[in-house]
Amino acid sequence: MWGYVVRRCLQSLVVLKGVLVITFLMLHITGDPASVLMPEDAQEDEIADLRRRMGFNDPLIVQYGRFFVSALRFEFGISFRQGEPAMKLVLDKVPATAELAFAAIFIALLISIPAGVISATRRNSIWDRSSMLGALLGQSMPNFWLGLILLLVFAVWLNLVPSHGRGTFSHLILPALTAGLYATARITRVLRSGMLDVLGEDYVRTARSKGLRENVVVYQHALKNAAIPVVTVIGLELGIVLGGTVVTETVFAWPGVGRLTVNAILNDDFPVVQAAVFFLAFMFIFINLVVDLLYAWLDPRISYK
Amino acid sequence: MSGNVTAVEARAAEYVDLGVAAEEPAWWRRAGASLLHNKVALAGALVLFFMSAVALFPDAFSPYSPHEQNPAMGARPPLYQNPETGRLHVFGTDAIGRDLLSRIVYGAQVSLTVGLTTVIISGTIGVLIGLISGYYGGWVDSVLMRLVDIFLAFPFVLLALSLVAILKPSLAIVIFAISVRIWVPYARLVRGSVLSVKEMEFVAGGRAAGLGPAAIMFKYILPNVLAPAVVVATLSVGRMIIIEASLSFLGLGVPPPTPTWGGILADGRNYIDTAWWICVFPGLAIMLTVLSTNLLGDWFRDFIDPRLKGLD
Repeated sequence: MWGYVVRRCLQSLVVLKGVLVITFLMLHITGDPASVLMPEDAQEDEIADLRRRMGFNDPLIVQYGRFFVSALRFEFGISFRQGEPAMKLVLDKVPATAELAFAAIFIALLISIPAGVISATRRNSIWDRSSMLGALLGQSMPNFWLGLILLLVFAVWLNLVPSHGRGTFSHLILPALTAGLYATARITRVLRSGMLDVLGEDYVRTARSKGLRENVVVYQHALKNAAIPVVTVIGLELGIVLGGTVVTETVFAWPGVGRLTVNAILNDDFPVVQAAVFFLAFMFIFINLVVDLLYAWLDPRISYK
Repeated sequence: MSGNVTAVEARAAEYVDLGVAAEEPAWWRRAGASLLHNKVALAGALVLFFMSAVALFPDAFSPYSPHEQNPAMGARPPLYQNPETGRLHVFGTDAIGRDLLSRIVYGAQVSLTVGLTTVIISGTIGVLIGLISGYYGGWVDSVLMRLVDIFLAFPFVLLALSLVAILKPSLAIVIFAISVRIWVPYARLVRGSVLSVKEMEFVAGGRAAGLGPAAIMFKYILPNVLAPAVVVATLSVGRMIIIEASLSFLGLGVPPPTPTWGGILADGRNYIDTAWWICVFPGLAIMLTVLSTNLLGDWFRDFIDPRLKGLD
């Protein structure tokens, strides 16, 4: 087990280093980062000046060395637009995004666990068919469009919840539903097929033949075992939701990392873009590491592979 | 004697021919029969066929020009008939009086082009990387699989947005920015299959016959590992369409004046209080298209190999 933990941690460090390299190269992909950063009508001497100030004339490897050393200290420079350290701006917005991501996963579980279990236990019933249709529709619509429709119905027409911003529970509900759309659809499908596999197993038949109530059989014996693949999916989805609240935050004007980054991208504020992309990738790698270790702990066969 | 043999051979050949024809009709016939049998998938195919026709010949489906403005008229609800021009706007008009139906019809082009080309490009790259990684193993495999992990860690939409912003928005750049990250699942999938196929006897046979690595990879291994990748490809066309719409919605897709579904929805967000139809119809178009590709993809997966059911 410990060998696996160490190996998996080292692997994550290698991946993190790769993420840094690509985050660095992103700005250099055109070969002339200074003209990317300057407005299109900038004069040649202004661009040259910026090139000198930012050290873009140095060899690429020297620039990368500088970038790498600062990144180790979590420093990605000063925001061009807001004059504050880029990473500080990102970290300031993390609570809002984390709140949204966790609420999204929570709502996803609230919907998908009963939907997945009922679909499997009452296969081909009207419940099964409607939740499978719901999952299919959920996977087929852009989540920002669901957000717009929810906004239209509940905020504009029915006036039940505020249309934008963050603060109370009523601010959170629509964005969380929107950000959790794909997770809901996916977890429902994974749980349904997991339950279908498990319900045919011998130990479920044994539990039934002992005369246990159906609810106990389904929720305590079957669900527990069907939940293992779901844990992986939840971890993956949490990583995806954290990085993918971008459109949701834009629809609902939610003051999170995604909206900050999109605005930074639109304004060529590159230190903020690099800091945010690195931070989100870091979180993704971290969550995946935790999920893998959790998984190995739940199912010890994994670490011997 | 030889005459006899020829006759027997001819009979045998005829017999074999008949046998093959009776047992195994051409794959496209089997596909057609299976599709006709599956009504849901057939509906998906018809919708997708219709959408492709719209994307290929937008002139034939759009009542008016998608660019012609009428700021004085402004946003009008569905089924509005302009008393001055006598024009009927079935889906209504947007804030500067452009016909919404015509804009949605022209928007199909970008969505379907991006959906198909990104899948083809990223699928090809992913399959090649998976093939090389699985076949050579060792350090080549380690390096390529770490590369896969690195790309997997990036927040996808932000990576694509940054690339589009740096390289300046255009159709080709949008396709590139999406493909940069989307080859990853193909590489993982194909590598896994290659690992088991390369141990099989016919591969050893190929090697014993003196074939080089390229010939073995492309002639012996590739045909045996392609099916799951093709299934994943058909199932991801819809996702690519959604991602393109997201980029356009965030303002970094194919730039105006080209109409895109995501771009129209971004406009609609600004007028959600006063003109609901701008938010509703483009989304329906996206959902219908993506739904049809998903239904068709599900059918295709079961048709190619029912054992692939877990893939999506």
